[in-house]
Amino acid sequence: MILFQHATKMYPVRGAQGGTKKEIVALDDVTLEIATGEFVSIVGQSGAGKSTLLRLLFADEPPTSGSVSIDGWDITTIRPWQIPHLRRQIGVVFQDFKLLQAKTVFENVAFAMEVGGAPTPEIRRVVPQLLKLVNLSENADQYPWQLSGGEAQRTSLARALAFRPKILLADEPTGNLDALHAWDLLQLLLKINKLGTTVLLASHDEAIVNAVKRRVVTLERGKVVKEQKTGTYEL
Amino acid sequence: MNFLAFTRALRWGLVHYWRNIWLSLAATGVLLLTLAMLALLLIVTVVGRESLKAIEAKVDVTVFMADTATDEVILAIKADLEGRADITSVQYVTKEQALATFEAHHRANPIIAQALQELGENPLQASLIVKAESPQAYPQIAESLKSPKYQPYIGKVTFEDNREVIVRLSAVLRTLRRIGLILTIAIAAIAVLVTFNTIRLAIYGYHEEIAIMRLVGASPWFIKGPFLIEGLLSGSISALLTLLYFFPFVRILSSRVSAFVAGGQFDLARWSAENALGVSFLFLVSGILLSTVSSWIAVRRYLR
Ligand SMILES: Nc1ncnc2c1ncn2[C@@H]1O[C@H](COP(=O)(O)OP(=O)(O)OP(=O)(O)O)[C@@H](O)[C@H]1O
Ligand SMILES: [Mg+2]
Repeated sequence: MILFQHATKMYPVRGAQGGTKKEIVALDDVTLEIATGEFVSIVGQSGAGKSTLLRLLFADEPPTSGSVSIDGWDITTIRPWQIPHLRRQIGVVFQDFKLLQAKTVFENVAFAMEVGGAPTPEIRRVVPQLLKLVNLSENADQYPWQLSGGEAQRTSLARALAFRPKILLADEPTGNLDALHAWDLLQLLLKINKLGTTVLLASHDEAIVNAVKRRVVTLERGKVVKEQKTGTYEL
Repeated sequence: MNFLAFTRALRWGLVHYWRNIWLSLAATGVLLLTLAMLALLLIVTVVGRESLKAIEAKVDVTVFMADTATDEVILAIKADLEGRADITSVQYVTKEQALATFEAHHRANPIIAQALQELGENPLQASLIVKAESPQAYPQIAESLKSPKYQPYIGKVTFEDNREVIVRLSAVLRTLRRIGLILTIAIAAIAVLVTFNTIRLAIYGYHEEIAIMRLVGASPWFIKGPFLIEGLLSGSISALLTLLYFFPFVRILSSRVSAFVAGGQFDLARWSAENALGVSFLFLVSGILLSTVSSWIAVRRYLR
Protein backbone atom coordinates (compact mmCIF):
# COMPACT_ATOMS: atom_id res chain seq x y z
CA MET A 1 0.00 0.00 0.00
CA ILE A 2 1.22 3.43 -0.94
CA LEU A 3 0.31 6.22 1.42
CA PHE A 4 0.80 9.96 1.00
CA GLN A 5 -0.02 11.88 4.15
CA HIS A 6 -0.22 15.66 3.85
CA ALA A 7 2.74 15.50 1.50
CA THR A 8 3.95 18.90 0.41
CA LYS A 9 6.86 19.58 -1.92
CA MET A 10 8.37 22.97 -2.43
CA TYR A 11 11.26 23.51 -4.82
CA PRO A 12 13.53 26.38 -3.88
CA VAL A 13 14.27 28.62 -6.85
CA ARG A 14 16.92 31.28 -6.81
CA GLY A 15 16.28 34.28 -8.99
CA ALA A 16 18.61 34.74 -11.93
CA GLN A 17 20.36 38.04 -11.10
CA GLY A 18 20.88 37.30 -7.45
CA GLY A 19 17.21 37.95 -7.01
CA THR A 20 15.21 36.91 -4.02
CA LYS A 21 14.86 33.28 -3.24
CA LYS A 22 11.37 32.00 -3.70
CA GLU A 23 9.72 28.63 -3.61
CA ILE A 24 7.58 26.78 -6.10
CA VAL A 25 4.87 24.68 -4.54
CA ALA A 26 4.80 21.52 -6.67
CA LEU A 27 2.68 19.43 -4.31
CA ASP A 28 0.35 20.94 -1.78
CA ASP A 29 -0.86 18.84 1.14
CA VAL A 30 -1.52 15.66 -0.84
CA THR A 31 -3.17 12.80 1.02
CA LEU A 32 -3.61 9.72 -1.08
CA GLU A 33 -3.93 6.00 -0.51
CA ILE A 34 -3.17 3.49 -3.23
CA ALA A 35 -3.83 -0.18 -2.59
CA THR A 36 -1.45 -2.91 -3.71
CA GLY A 37 -2.32 -4.07 -7.21
CA GLU A 38 -4.24 -0.93 -8.08
CA PHE A 39 -3.97 0.91 -11.39
CA VAL A 40 -4.14 4.63 -10.79
CA SER A 41 -3.97 7.41 -13.36
CA ILE A 42 -2.65 10.72 -12.17
CA VAL A 43 -3.87 13.47 -14.43
CA GLY A 44 -3.46 17.19 -14.53
CA GLN A 45 -2.13 20.01 -16.62
CA SER A 46 1.50 20.48 -17.30
CA GLY A 47 3.16 21.63 -14.11
CA ALA A 48 0.40 20.26 -11.91
CA GLY A 49 2.88 18.14 -9.97
CA LYS A 50 2.46 14.67 -11.50
CA SER A 51 6.15 13.98 -11.95
CA THR A 52 6.87 15.35 -8.51
CA LEU A 53 4.33 12.99 -6.97
CA LEU A 54 6.12 10.04 -8.59
CA ARG A 55 9.53 11.36 -7.62
CA LEU A 56 8.66 11.35 -3.96
CA LEU A 57 7.88 7.66 -4.29
CA PHE A 58 11.30 6.55 -5.45
CA ALA A 59 13.08 8.97 -3.13
CA ASP A 60 14.38 11.19 -5.91
CA GLU A 61 13.20 14.11 -3.82
CA PRO A 62 12.16 14.22 -0.18
CA PRO A 63 8.83 15.84 0.68
CA THR A 64 9.17 19.24 2.29
CA SER A 65 6.61 18.20 4.86
CA GLY A 66 4.21 15.35 5.38
CA SER A 67 5.12 11.75 4.72
CA VAL A 68 5.19 9.06 2.08
CA SER A 69 5.24 5.38 2.84
CA ILE A 70 5.20 2.13 0.90
CA ASP A 71 3.93 -0.97 2.69
CA GLY A 72 4.57 0.78 5.97
CA TRP A 73 8.10 1.77 4.95
CA ASP A 74 8.45 5.48 5.59
CA ILE A 75 10.26 6.90 2.56
CA THR A 76 10.43 10.32 4.17
CA THR A 77 13.12 9.25 6.59
CA ILE A 78 14.89 6.79 4.31
CA ARG A 79 18.65 6.51 4.82
CA PRO A 80 20.82 7.08 1.75
CA TRP A 81 22.08 3.50 1.80
CA GLN A 82 18.52 2.18 1.72
CA ILE A 83 17.59 4.07 -1.43
CA PRO A 84 19.05 1.47 -3.85
CA HIS A 85 16.94 -1.22 -2.16
CA LEU A 86 13.85 0.91 -2.61
CA ARG A 87 14.59 1.67 -6.24
CA ARG A 88 15.07 -1.94 -7.16
CA GLN A 89 11.49 -2.56 -6.12
CA ILE A 90 10.10 0.32 -8.13
CA GLY A 91 10.28 0.43 -11.93
CA VAL A 92 10.21 3.91 -13.41
CA VAL A 93 9.44 4.90 -16.98
CA PHE A 94 10.89 8.38 -17.12
CA GLN A 95 9.22 11.19 -18.95
CA ASP A 96 12.57 12.01 -20.55
CA PHE A 97 13.56 8.31 -20.89
CA LYS A 98 16.96 8.67 -19.17
CA LEU A 99 18.70 6.24 -21.48
CA LEU A 100 22.46 5.97 -21.76
CA GLN A 101 23.41 7.44 -25.12
CA ALA A 102 26.55 5.35 -25.42
CA LYS A 103 24.72 2.06 -24.98
CA THR A 104 22.40 0.18 -27.29
CA VAL A 105 18.81 -0.68 -26.38
CA PHE A 106 19.91 -4.13 -25.26
CA GLU A 107 22.79 -2.74 -23.22
CA ASN A 108 20.61 -0.13 -21.59
CA VAL A 109 18.30 -2.80 -20.22
CA ALA A 110 21.17 -5.15 -19.41
CA PHE A 111 22.96 -2.33 -17.62
CA ALA A 112 20.09 -1.83 -15.21
CA MET A 113 20.09 -5.54 -14.42
CA GLU A 114 23.84 -5.51 -13.96
CA VAL A 115 23.52 -2.57 -11.61
CA GLY A 116 21.00 -4.56 -9.61
CA GLY A 117 23.43 -7.46 -9.32
CA ALA A 118 21.72 -9.95 -11.61
CA PRO A 119 24.00 -12.77 -12.77
CA THR A 120 25.16 -12.58 -16.38
CA PRO A 121 23.33 -15.69 -17.67
CA GLU A 122 20.09 -14.34 -16.29
CA ILE A 123 20.70 -11.00 -17.99
CA ARG A 124 21.27 -12.77 -21.32
CA ARG A 125 18.06 -14.69 -20.87
CA VAL A 126 15.78 -11.98 -19.54
CA VAL A 127 16.70 -8.96 -21.67
CA PRO A 128 15.45 -10.47 -24.97
CA GLN A 129 12.22 -11.42 -23.23
CA LEU A 130 11.75 -7.88 -21.99
CA LEU A 131 12.49 -6.43 -25.41
CA LYS A 132 10.02 -8.80 -26.96
CA LEU A 133 7.44 -7.75 -24.42
CA VAL A 134 7.74 -4.10 -25.42
CA ASN A 135 8.06 -4.99 -29.09
CA LEU A 136 11.64 -3.88 -29.50
CA SER A 137 13.35 -7.12 -30.50
CA GLU A 138 14.19 -5.61 -33.87
CA ASN A 139 15.80 -2.56 -32.30
CA ALA A 140 18.05 -4.27 -29.77
CA ASP A 141 21.27 -3.01 -31.35
CA GLN A 142 20.23 0.57 -31.98
CA TYR A 143 21.50 3.45 -29.92
CA PRO A 144 19.02 5.81 -28.23
CA TRP A 145 19.65 8.60 -30.73
CA GLN A 146 18.67 6.21 -33.50
CA LEU A 147 15.30 5.51 -31.90
CA SER A 148 11.97 7.18 -32.38
CA GLY A 149 10.47 8.80 -29.30
CA GLY A 150 8.10 5.90 -28.79
CA GLU A 151 10.87 3.34 -29.11
CA ALA A 152 12.94 5.19 -26.56
CA GLN A 153 9.95 5.26 -24.25
CA ARG A 154 9.45 1.53 -24.61
CA THR A 155 13.15 0.96 -23.94
CA SER A 156 12.68 2.88 -20.72
CA LEU A 157 9.70 0.64 -19.93
CA ALA A 158 11.65 -2.55 -20.64
CA ARG A 159 14.32 -1.34 -18.26
CA ALA A 160 11.74 -0.44 -15.63
CA LEU A 161 10.46 -3.99 -15.76
CA ALA A 162 13.91 -5.57 -15.46
CA PHE A 163 13.64 -6.10 -11.71
CA ARG A 164 10.04 -7.39 -11.77
CA PRO A 165 9.06 -4.36 -9.73
CA LYS A 166 6.23 -4.40 -7.20
CA ILE A 167 5.37 -0.89 -8.29
CA LEU A 168 5.61 0.62 -11.76
CA LEU A 169 5.67 4.38 -12.16
CA ALA A 170 5.00 5.46 -15.72
CA ASP A 171 5.50 9.17 -16.35
CA GLU A 172 3.82 10.15 -19.63
CA PRO A 173 4.73 6.84 -21.24
CA THR A 174 2.54 7.60 -24.22
CA GLY A 175 3.69 11.15 -24.65
CA ASN A 176 5.53 10.37 -27.86
CA LEU A 177 3.22 7.76 -29.30
CA ASP A 178 0.50 7.92 -31.90
CA ALA A 179 -2.94 6.71 -30.86
CA LEU A 180 -2.39 3.16 -32.06
CA HIS A 181 0.94 2.65 -30.33
CA ALA A 182 -0.30 4.42 -27.24
CA TRP A 183 -3.16 1.97 -27.12
CA ASP A 184 -0.71 -0.97 -27.39
CA LEU A 185 1.38 0.39 -24.60
CA LEU A 186 -1.64 0.90 -22.44
CA GLN A 187 -2.66 -2.72 -22.97
CA LEU A 188 0.81 -3.68 -21.90
CA LEU A 189 0.57 -1.62 -18.71
CA LEU A 190 -2.80 -3.19 -17.94
CA LYS A 191 -1.30 -6.63 -18.48
CA ILE A 192 1.59 -5.85 -16.15
CA ASN A 193 -0.95 -4.62 -13.62
CA LYS A 194 -2.95 -7.80 -14.00
CA LEU A 195 0.17 -9.78 -13.11
CA GLY A 196 0.16 -8.05 -9.74
CA THR A 197 2.19 -4.90 -10.18
CA THR A 198 0.79 -1.68 -8.79
CA VAL A 199 0.82 0.86 -11.63
CA LEU A 200 0.84 4.63 -11.34
CA LEU A 201 0.33 6.31 -14.68
CA ALA A 202 0.92 10.02 -14.95
CA SER A 203 -0.59 11.42 -18.09
CA HIS A 204 -2.41 14.28 -19.66
CA ASP A 205 -3.53 12.18 -22.60
CA GLU A 206 -7.30 12.32 -22.35
CA ALA A 207 -8.00 9.42 -24.72
CA ILE A 208 -5.67 7.14 -22.86
CA VAL A 209 -6.99 7.91 -19.42
CA ASN A 210 -10.55 7.52 -20.54
CA ALA A 211 -9.73 4.16 -22.07
CA VAL A 212 -8.30 2.78 -18.84
CA LYS A 213 -11.50 3.02 -16.89
CA ARG A 214 -9.73 2.81 -13.58
CA ARG A 215 -9.25 5.13 -10.71
CA VAL A 216 -8.27 8.68 -11.66
CA VAL A 217 -6.66 11.24 -9.39
CA THR A 218 -6.68 14.78 -10.69
CA LEU A 219 -4.00 17.24 -9.61
CA GLU A 220 -4.26 20.95 -10.00
CA ARG A 221 -1.43 23.21 -8.97
CA GLY A 222 -0.18 20.57 -6.59
CA LYS A 223 -3.51 19.79 -4.96
CA VAL A 224 -5.69 16.72 -5.38
CA VAL A 225 -8.86 18.29 -6.69
CA LYS A 226 -10.80 15.20 -7.74
CA GLU A 227 -10.82 11.46 -7.25
CA GLN A 228 -12.90 9.08 -9.31
CA LYS A 229 -13.20 5.35 -8.85
CA THR A 230 -13.53 4.56 -12.54
CA GLY A 231 -12.98 7.92 -13.86
CA THR A 232 -12.55 9.86 -16.98
CA TYR A 233 -10.28 12.70 -17.71
CA GLU A 234 -11.89 15.98 -16.99
CA LEU A 235 -10.45 19.30 -16.19
CA MET B 1 30.66 -6.25 -2.22
CA ASN B 2 30.27 -9.78 -3.49
CA PHE B 3 32.38 -11.49 -6.12
CA LEU B 4 30.06 -10.71 -9.03
CA ALA B 5 29.93 -7.04 -8.10
CA PHE B 6 33.69 -7.03 -7.75
CA THR B 7 34.37 -8.54 -11.17
CA ARG B 8 31.94 -6.06 -12.69
CA ALA B 9 33.62 -3.16 -10.95
CA LEU B 10 36.93 -4.52 -12.19
CA ARG B 11 35.64 -4.71 -15.74
CA TRP B 12 34.22 -1.19 -15.64
CA GLY B 13 37.41 0.04 -14.01
CA LEU B 14 39.38 -1.36 -16.93
CA VAL B 15 36.96 0.22 -19.39
CA HIS B 16 37.34 3.57 -17.63
CA TYR B 17 41.11 3.30 -17.62
CA TRP B 18 41.08 2.55 -21.31
CA ARG B 19 38.62 5.28 -22.27
CA ASN B 20 40.76 7.82 -20.47
CA ILE B 21 43.94 6.29 -21.73
CA TRP B 22 46.02 9.47 -22.00
CA LEU B 23 45.10 10.71 -18.56
CA SER B 24 45.48 7.23 -17.17
CA LEU B 25 48.95 7.02 -18.68
CA ALA B 26 49.85 10.38 -17.15
CA ALA B 27 48.74 9.18 -13.73
CA THR B 28 50.57 5.89 -14.17
CA GLY B 29 53.68 7.70 -15.40
CA VAL B 30 53.91 10.10 -12.51
CA LEU B 31 53.30 7.27 -10.05
CA LEU B 32 56.08 5.39 -11.80
CA LEU B 33 58.31 8.41 -11.31
CA THR B 34 57.42 8.53 -7.62
CA LEU B 35 58.34 4.90 -7.18
CA ALA B 36 61.60 5.44 -9.10
CA MET B 37 62.41 8.24 -6.68
CA LEU B 38 61.58 5.95 -3.81
CA ALA B 39 63.81 3.25 -5.31
CA LEU B 40 66.67 5.70 -5.60
CA LEU B 41 66.16 6.83 -2.03
CA LEU B 42 66.19 3.21 -0.93
CA ILE B 43 69.45 2.48 -2.75
CA VAL B 44 71.13 5.61 -1.39
CA THR B 45 69.99 4.77 2.13
CA VAL B 46 71.17 1.19 2.01
CA VAL B 47 74.49 1.91 0.30
CA GLY B 48 75.14 4.79 2.65
CA ARG B 49 74.33 2.73 5.71
CA GLU B 50 76.57 -0.11 4.59
CA SER B 51 79.44 2.23 3.71
CA LEU B 52 79.21 3.84 7.09
CA LYS B 53 79.11 0.47 8.76
CA ALA B 54 82.17 -0.68 6.83
CA ILE B 55 84.12 2.41 7.76
CA GLU B 56 83.09 2.20 11.38
CA ALA B 57 84.13 -1.43 11.51
CA LYS B 58 87.57 -0.44 10.28
CA VAL B 59 88.65 0.83 13.63
CA ASP B 60 92.02 -0.71 14.17
CA VAL B 61 95.06 0.48 15.96
CA THR B 62 98.34 -1.18 15.09
CA VAL B 63 100.80 -1.28 17.96
CA PHE B 64 104.30 -2.14 16.78
CA MET B 65 106.34 -3.83 19.46
CA ALA B 66 109.91 -2.91 20.21
CA ASP B 67 112.49 -5.65 19.69
CA THR B 68 112.95 -5.74 23.44
CA ALA B 69 109.51 -7.20 23.90
CA THR B 70 109.55 -10.91 24.37
CA ASP B 71 106.68 -13.18 23.46
CA GLU B 72 105.54 -13.35 27.10
CA VAL B 73 105.50 -9.60 27.43
CA ILE B 74 103.56 -9.19 24.22
CA LEU B 75 101.04 -11.83 25.25
CA ALA B 76 100.65 -10.16 28.63
CA ILE B 77 99.98 -6.81 27.00
CA LYS B 78 97.56 -8.52 24.65
CA ALA B 79 95.68 -10.07 27.57
CA ASP B 80 95.65 -6.66 29.28
CA LEU B 81 94.16 -4.95 26.27
CA GLU B 82 91.62 -7.66 25.71
CA GLY B 83 90.32 -7.00 29.17
CA ARG B 84 89.22 -3.51 28.22
CA ALA B 85 85.58 -2.90 27.48
CA ASP B 86 86.23 -0.55 24.58
CA ILE B 87 88.33 -3.11 22.73
CA THR B 88 86.65 -5.90 20.83
CA SER B 89 89.66 -7.94 19.75
CA VAL B 90 93.43 -7.99 19.75
CA GLN B 91 95.34 -9.91 17.14
CA TYR B 92 99.01 -10.79 17.66
CA VAL B 93 101.11 -10.70 14.49
CA THR B 94 104.56 -12.18 15.12
CA LYS B 95 107.71 -11.02 13.32
CA GLU B 96 107.58 -14.17 11.18
CA GLN B 97 103.99 -13.69 10.23
CA ALA B 98 104.67 -10.09 9.34
CA LEU B 99 107.55 -11.14 7.12
CA ALA B 100 105.49 -13.86 5.46
CA THR B 101 102.71 -11.42 4.67
CA PHE B 102 105.20 -8.88 3.41
CA GLU B 103 106.89 -11.43 1.17
CA ALA B 104 103.60 -12.68 -0.14
CA HIS B 105 102.63 -9.15 -0.93
CA HIS B 106 105.82 -8.33 -2.84
CA ARG B 107 106.49 -11.67 -4.46
CA ALA B 108 106.11 -10.03 -7.84
CA ASN B 109 108.83 -7.55 -7.12
CA PRO B 110 112.26 -9.19 -7.42
CA ILE B 111 114.15 -6.17 -6.11
CA ILE B 112 112.39 -6.17 -2.76
CA ALA B 113 112.76 -9.94 -2.50
CA GLN B 114 116.47 -9.64 -3.18
CA ALA B 115 116.92 -6.80 -0.70
CA LEU B 116 115.29 -8.89 1.97
CA GLN B 117 117.55 -11.80 1.15
CA GLU B 118 120.68 -9.61 1.41
CA LEU B 119 119.54 -8.19 4.73
CA GLY B 120 119.70 -11.68 6.15
CA GLU B 121 117.53 -11.01 9.14
CA ASN B 122 113.89 -10.18 9.63
CA PRO B 123 113.57 -6.38 9.61
CA LEU B 124 109.91 -6.39 10.47
CA GLN B 125 108.40 -5.87 13.86
CA ALA B 126 105.86 -7.87 15.75
CA SER B 127 102.60 -6.04 16.24
CA LEU B 128 99.27 -6.12 17.98
CA ILE B 129 96.27 -5.21 15.88
CA VAL B 130 93.67 -3.77 18.18
CA LYS B 131 90.07 -3.45 17.08
CA ALA B 132 88.10 -0.93 19.04
CA GLU B 133 84.44 -0.94 19.82
CA SER B 134 83.92 2.39 18.08
CA PRO B 135 86.02 5.13 16.58
CA GLN B 136 85.23 7.20 19.64
CA ALA B 137 87.46 4.87 21.68
CA TYR B 138 90.65 5.89 19.84
CA PRO B 139 91.85 8.63 22.16
CA GLN B 140 91.55 6.57 25.35
CA ILE B 141 93.27 3.59 23.76
CA ALA B 142 96.12 5.71 22.45
CA GLU B 143 96.44 7.41 25.84
CA SER B 144 96.58 4.21 27.83
CA LEU B 145 99.27 2.79 25.56
CA LYS B 146 101.45 5.72 26.61
CA SER B 147 101.49 4.56 30.21
CA PRO B 148 104.97 3.68 31.61
CA LYS B 149 103.79 0.11 32.06
CA TYR B 150 103.81 -0.44 28.31
CA GLN B 151 106.10 2.29 27.06
CA PRO B 152 109.41 0.38 27.06
CA TYR B 153 108.02 -2.36 24.89
CA ILE B 154 106.17 -0.34 22.40
CA GLY B 155 107.49 1.16 19.25
CA LYS B 156 105.18 3.06 17.02
CA VAL B 157 101.44 3.21 17.41
CA THR B 158 99.60 3.90 14.20
CA PHE B 159 95.96 4.26 13.67
CA GLU B 160 93.87 5.41 10.88
CA ASP B 161 91.84 8.24 12.28
CA ASN B 162 88.63 7.95 10.24
CA ARG B 163 86.48 9.77 12.76
CA GLU B 164 86.52 12.83 10.58
CA VAL B 165 85.50 10.77 7.54
CA ILE B 166 82.68 9.13 9.44
CA VAL B 167 81.31 12.43 10.66
CA ARG B 168 81.48 13.93 7.22
CA LEU B 169 80.06 10.90 5.50
CA SER B 170 77.12 10.68 7.87
CA ALA B 171 76.45 14.36 7.34
CA VAL B 172 76.51 13.92 3.57
CA LEU B 173 74.27 10.88 3.82
CA ARG B 174 71.83 12.67 6.06
CA THR B 175 71.60 15.57 3.61
CA LEU B 176 71.26 13.20 0.69
CA ARG B 177 68.50 11.27 2.41
CA ARG B 178 66.70 14.43 3.39
CA ILE B 179 66.83 15.78 -0.17
CA GLY B 180 65.70 12.40 -1.46
CA LEU B 181 62.84 12.29 0.98
CA ILE B 182 61.70 15.80 0.14
CA LEU B 183 61.86 15.05 -3.58
CA THR B 184 59.99 11.79 -3.12
CA ILE B 185 57.28 13.50 -1.10
CA ALA B 186 57.03 16.34 -3.63
CA ILE B 187 56.69 13.94 -6.55
CA ALA B 188 54.28 11.79 -4.57
CA ALA B 189 52.15 14.87 -3.97
CA ILE B 190 52.14 15.57 -7.70
CA ALA B 191 51.23 11.94 -8.34
CA VAL B 192 48.34 12.23 -5.92
CA LEU B 193 47.15 15.41 -7.64
CA VAL B 194 47.38 13.91 -11.11
CA THR B 195 45.63 10.71 -10.10
CA PHE B 196 43.00 12.65 -8.20
CA ASN B 197 42.27 14.81 -11.23
CA THR B 198 42.22 11.85 -13.58
CA ILE B 199 39.53 10.24 -11.47
CA ARG B 200 37.72 13.52 -11.03
CA LEU B 201 37.54 14.02 -14.80
CA ALA B 202 36.46 10.42 -15.24
CA ILE B 203 33.63 11.04 -12.78
CA TYR B 204 32.61 14.19 -14.68
CA GLY B 205 32.71 12.26 -17.92
CA TYR B 206 30.38 9.69 -16.47
CA HIS B 207 27.96 11.98 -14.70
CA GLU B 208 25.11 10.96 -16.97
CA GLU B 209 25.78 7.27 -16.36
CA ILE B 210 26.13 7.86 -12.66
CA ALA B 211 22.81 9.71 -12.42
CA ILE B 212 21.04 6.93 -14.27
CA MET B 213 22.75 4.23 -12.24
CA ARG B 214 21.44 5.91 -9.12
CA LEU B 215 17.93 6.10 -10.53
CA VAL B 216 17.83 2.41 -11.36
CA GLY B 217 19.04 1.45 -7.91
CA ALA B 218 22.79 0.97 -8.10
CA SER B 219 24.40 0.61 -4.70
CA PRO B 220 27.00 3.26 -3.82
CA TRP B 221 29.75 0.69 -4.10
CA PHE B 222 28.66 -0.32 -7.54
CA ILE B 223 29.04 3.32 -8.59
CA LYS B 224 32.26 4.04 -6.72
CA GLY B 225 33.99 0.73 -7.38
CA PRO B 226 35.00 1.31 -11.00
CA PHE B 227 36.56 4.68 -10.18
CA LEU B 228 38.49 3.31 -7.25
CA ILE B 229 39.67 0.48 -9.42
CA GLU B 230 40.63 2.86 -12.20
CA GLY B 231 42.91 4.61 -9.71
CA LEU B 232 44.12 1.35 -8.27
CA LEU B 233 45.08 0.22 -11.79
CA SER B 234 47.44 3.18 -12.21
CA GLY B 235 49.05 2.33 -8.88
CA SER B 236 49.44 -1.36 -9.50
CA ILE B 237 50.66 -0.96 -13.06
CA SER B 238 53.32 1.50 -11.96
CA ALA B 239 54.32 -0.76 -9.06
CA LEU B 240 54.62 -3.80 -11.34
CA LEU B 241 56.69 -1.85 -13.86
CA THR B 242 58.94 -0.69 -11.03
CA LEU B 243 59.44 -4.27 -9.90
CA LEU B 244 60.24 -5.25 -13.47
CA TYR B 245 63.10 -2.82 -13.86
CA PHE B 246 64.31 -2.46 -10.27
CA PHE B 247 66.03 -5.81 -9.82
CA PRO B 248 67.84 -5.90 -13.19
CA PHE B 249 68.81 -2.28 -12.66
CA VAL B 250 70.24 -3.05 -9.23
CA ARG B 251 72.17 -5.99 -10.63
CA ILE B 252 73.75 -3.83 -13.32
CA LEU B 253 74.41 -0.99 -10.89
CA SER B 254 75.90 -3.42 -8.43
CA SER B 255 78.32 -4.89 -10.96
CA ARG B 256 79.51 -1.36 -11.76
CA VAL B 257 79.84 0.15 -8.33
CA SER B 258 80.13 -2.64 -5.76
CA ALA B 259 83.91 -2.43 -5.83
CA PHE B 260 83.80 1.17 -4.62
CA VAL B 261 81.03 0.78 -2.13
CA ALA B 262 81.87 -0.02 1.46
CA GLY B 263 85.37 -1.11 0.50
CA GLY B 264 84.00 -3.89 -1.70
CA GLN B 265 82.41 -5.41 1.38
CA PHE B 266 78.84 -4.87 0.27
CA ASP B 267 77.06 -6.61 -2.59
CA LEU B 268 74.05 -4.53 -3.56
CA ALA B 269 72.68 -7.21 -5.89
CA ARG B 270 72.79 -9.78 -3.15
CA TRP B 271 71.15 -7.39 -0.75
CA SER B 272 68.29 -6.79 -3.20
CA ALA B 273 67.91 -10.53 -3.79
CA GLU B 274 67.80 -11.23 -0.08
CA ASN B 275 65.27 -8.45 0.51
CA ALA B 276 63.30 -9.01 -2.68
CA LEU B 277 60.10 -9.71 -0.79
CA GLY B 278 60.31 -6.63 1.40
CA VAL B 279 61.33 -4.40 -1.50
CA SER B 280 58.50 -5.69 -3.71
CA PHE B 281 56.10 -5.17 -0.86
CA LEU B 282 57.32 -1.61 -0.38
CA PHE B 283 56.78 -0.69 -4.03
CA LEU B 284 53.42 -2.42 -4.31
CA VAL B 285 52.09 -0.91 -1.12
CA SER B 286 53.39 2.58 -1.96
CA GLY B 287 51.98 2.51 -5.49
CA ILE B 288 48.65 1.07 -4.48
CA LEU B 289 48.30 3.26 -1.41
CA LEU B 290 49.11 6.49 -3.26
CA SER B 291 46.69 5.77 -6.09
CA THR B 292 43.91 4.40 -3.91
CA VAL B 293 44.06 7.34 -1.54
CA SER B 294 43.91 9.78 -4.46
CA SER B 295 40.98 8.10 -6.15
CA TRP B 296 39.30 7.67 -2.79
CA ILE B 297 39.46 11.39 -2.16
CA ALA B 298 38.09 12.11 -5.64
CA VAL B 299 35.27 9.63 -5.17
CA ARG B 300 34.50 10.99 -1.71
CA ARG B 301 34.37 14.54 -3.01
CA TYR B 302 32.59 14.09 -6.29
CA LEU B 303 30.36 11.08 -5.72
CA ARG B 304 28.85 12.31 -2.49
N1 LIG C 1 13.81 20.44 -9.86
C1 LIG C 1 12.91 21.44 -9.81
N2 LIG C 1 13.27 22.63 -9.35
C2 LIG C 1 12.37 23.65 -9.30
N3 LIG C 1 11.13 23.53 -9.69
C3 LIG C 1 10.69 22.37 -10.16
C4 LIG C 1 11.57 21.25 -10.26
N4 LIG C 1 10.89 20.22 -10.78
C5 LIG C 1 9.65 20.68 -10.99
N5 LIG C 1 9.51 21.95 -10.63
C6 LIG C 1 8.28 22.75 -10.69
O1 LIG C 1 7.30 22.07 -9.94
C7 LIG C 1 6.06 22.10 -10.59
C8 LIG C 1 5.52 20.70 -10.83
O2 LIG C 1 6.38 20.04 -11.75
P1 LIG C 1 6.14 18.57 -12.28
O3 LIG C 1 7.30 18.18 -13.09
O4 LIG C 1 5.79 17.72 -11.13
O5 LIG C 1 4.87 18.78 -13.20
P2 LIG C 1 4.11 17.74 -14.13
O6 LIG C 1 2.73 17.64 -13.64
O7 LIG C 1 4.89 16.47 -14.21
O8 LIG C 1 4.14 18.48 -15.54
P3 LIG C 1 4.30 17.81 -17.00
O9 LIG C 1 2.94 17.31 -17.35
O10 LIG C 1 4.66 19.00 -17.85
O11 LIG C 1 5.33 16.80 -16.93
C9 LIG C 1 6.28 22.89 -11.86
O12 LIG C 1 5.84 24.21 -11.65
C10 LIG C 1 7.77 22.87 -12.07
O13 LIG C 1 8.19 24.06 -12.68
MG1 LIG D 1 5.96 15.54 -15.62
